[in-house]
Amino acid sequence: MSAELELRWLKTDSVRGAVRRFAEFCKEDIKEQSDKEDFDLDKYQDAIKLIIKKLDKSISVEELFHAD
Amino acid sequence: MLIKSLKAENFRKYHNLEVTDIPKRGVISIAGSNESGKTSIGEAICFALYGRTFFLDEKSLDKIICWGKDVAEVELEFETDNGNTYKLKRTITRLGGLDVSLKRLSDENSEEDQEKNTILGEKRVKEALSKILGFNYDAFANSFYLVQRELTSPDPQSDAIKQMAGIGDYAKITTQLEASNVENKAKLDEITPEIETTQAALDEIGLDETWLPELVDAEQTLGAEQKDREELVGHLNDNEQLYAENSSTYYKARNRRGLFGFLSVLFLPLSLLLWLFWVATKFFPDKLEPIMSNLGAGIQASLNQFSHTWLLPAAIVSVVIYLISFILKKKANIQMANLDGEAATFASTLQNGHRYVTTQVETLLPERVVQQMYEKNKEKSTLLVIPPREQFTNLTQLVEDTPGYKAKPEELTAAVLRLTDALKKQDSDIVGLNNDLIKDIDIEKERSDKAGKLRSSLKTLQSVVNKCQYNIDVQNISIGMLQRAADDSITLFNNNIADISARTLPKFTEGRYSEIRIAEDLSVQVYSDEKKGYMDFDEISSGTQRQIMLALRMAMSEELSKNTGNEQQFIFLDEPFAFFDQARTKSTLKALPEVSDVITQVWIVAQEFPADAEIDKVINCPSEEAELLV
Repeated sequence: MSAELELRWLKTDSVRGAVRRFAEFCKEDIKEQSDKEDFDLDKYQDAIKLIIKKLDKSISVEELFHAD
Repeated sequence: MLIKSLKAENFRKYHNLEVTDIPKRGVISIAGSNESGKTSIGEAICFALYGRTFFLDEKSLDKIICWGKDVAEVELEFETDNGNTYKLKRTITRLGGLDVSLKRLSDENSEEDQEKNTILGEKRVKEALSKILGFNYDAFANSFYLVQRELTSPDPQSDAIKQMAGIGDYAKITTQLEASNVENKAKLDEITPEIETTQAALDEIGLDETWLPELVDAEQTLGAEQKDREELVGHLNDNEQLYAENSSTYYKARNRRGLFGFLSVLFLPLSLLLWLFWVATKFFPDKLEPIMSNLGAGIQASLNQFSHTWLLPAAIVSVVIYLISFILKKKANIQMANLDGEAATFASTLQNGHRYVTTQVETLLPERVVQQMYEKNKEKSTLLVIPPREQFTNLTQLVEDTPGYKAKPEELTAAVLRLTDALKKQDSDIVGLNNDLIKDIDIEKERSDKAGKLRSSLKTLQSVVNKCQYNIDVQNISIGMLQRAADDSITLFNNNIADISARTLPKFTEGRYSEIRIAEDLSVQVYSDEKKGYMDFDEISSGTQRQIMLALRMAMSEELSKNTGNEQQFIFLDEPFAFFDQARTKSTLKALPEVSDVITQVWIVAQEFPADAEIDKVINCPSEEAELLV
């Protein structure tokens, strides 16, 4: 399976702004990175999830409104 | 983000300001003479959003309060792309008191829900706005809030540009990840010596995983052996007693079998003869006549008398005696066979006993266990030495003689006694060895438990190390990825603003300038169709420079909107045409609503607007009055 297909879970049409741009970047970036000898798909995917979690602000806004 | 309404009390010159029914798309013109309060409208928007204006920071905010009043209040209602509407309210007192609230509006919300959908306090509202809007004051002031000033290219390294390029959070996330890596490395440094100490303790125990199972196996083998021997001693004693009792019975049965065998052999032909004679005298007397005539008269008379009186009873008695003898002989045979079976069982038990006492138990145990026994027991146990064979030299013969009760009971009694003595002695040694093994097992279990605990804590520590290392690896990949994404975004940003500017510029300049080059440092060159070549920014007229800068800023604003997820955005342009001639003003004003699909709500401040300008909402600021309701 090509590395690109491994990121099928990463949807770009359901997110906006910085998250969308980053997700689009990842889909291109993995093509280049997966050719490297030390490429680890699991770690790469976890890195994407980690960054997206930090970039995704919508959840935090909800948390702020329901903090009380 | 689009503005739905703006209300203010005691703000700058306005005692009461109210702007409502603001179109989502189109130009909102703010016109008026000098000091009529045009800029104050933009300041009210900026103050509501960020608690400051372009000219007044947080320290000198009391100047925004209307002269003679103590409290100023601004209420801004805005809508975001996801359909949410928010009401942002900010109040300031002359003594420096500040109140701010952000309410998410919904028709369906009950009063209780409305309360839940309200955030209070400067810090929390600021945080919420940052998340809702996606840009901070710097980015706002460099894109959507262009007040009357000299517009220049922003610093490409500035935070505002990073936000516009969509990488505003990248640096922040990278810093977080680097800090987390430092924490993970510190944890690794803390755990590593602990792992080494635990590993050393484990090595010191030197547990052999196979040793405990071998000991347990040996202990079970000895236990089973001891049980077998005890049962064997019991069987030997029982069988020996039975043999003695059976022996005489067996011989008596054998005698009976001999007697009744003899009688049956004797009476079978006799009874046949008598019956033959009776049949002949009874049914064929004429055939006997010639034989009888040869006998003497006396014998002949005796035979005749015998045949007539005693022959039949004698024949019957003879048959009866034969049958009884035959039955009793068979009975004796069966009895002997049963006794022989018991003797054979006894012989087998003897044979087992012989095998047990002459077999070394060590052959049943694992080699290492025996080796340890040798090392521990300086005095060899009977288990480890074959008993003297001479004690049991005749045992083989006795085993052979036992079936048929040929062996003498007293010899067997002596042999059984020797066997049971030897077995009991060996049993006692087995018990001793077993006790030693149980002690060894206990010790080994204790060592095993200790090693297990050490291994368990080693495993826990190792899993923490693995987790830390994995986090470090993932975070390093993340940092690299963010760097590449930032480079990619900056390149894309530069290309996009060049494209957008190139698309916008001809509309602003009525086709005089069509192409624009933007370098990495955001310096600008423009292609002049008249001069057929690129011109540096400072080579062109100041009016055109302002048009180009306006186009560039519009492009940056569009990028910021897209990168913060704002697909519809307002922009506030304060006196953008200050240095434009009528023609430039007209062309720019005409072009502004069309230049972007994202920057849809364009607020423009000017002293006056051309009469034929297409305006979607007109706000005329009064020179004298302190109230404006539009």
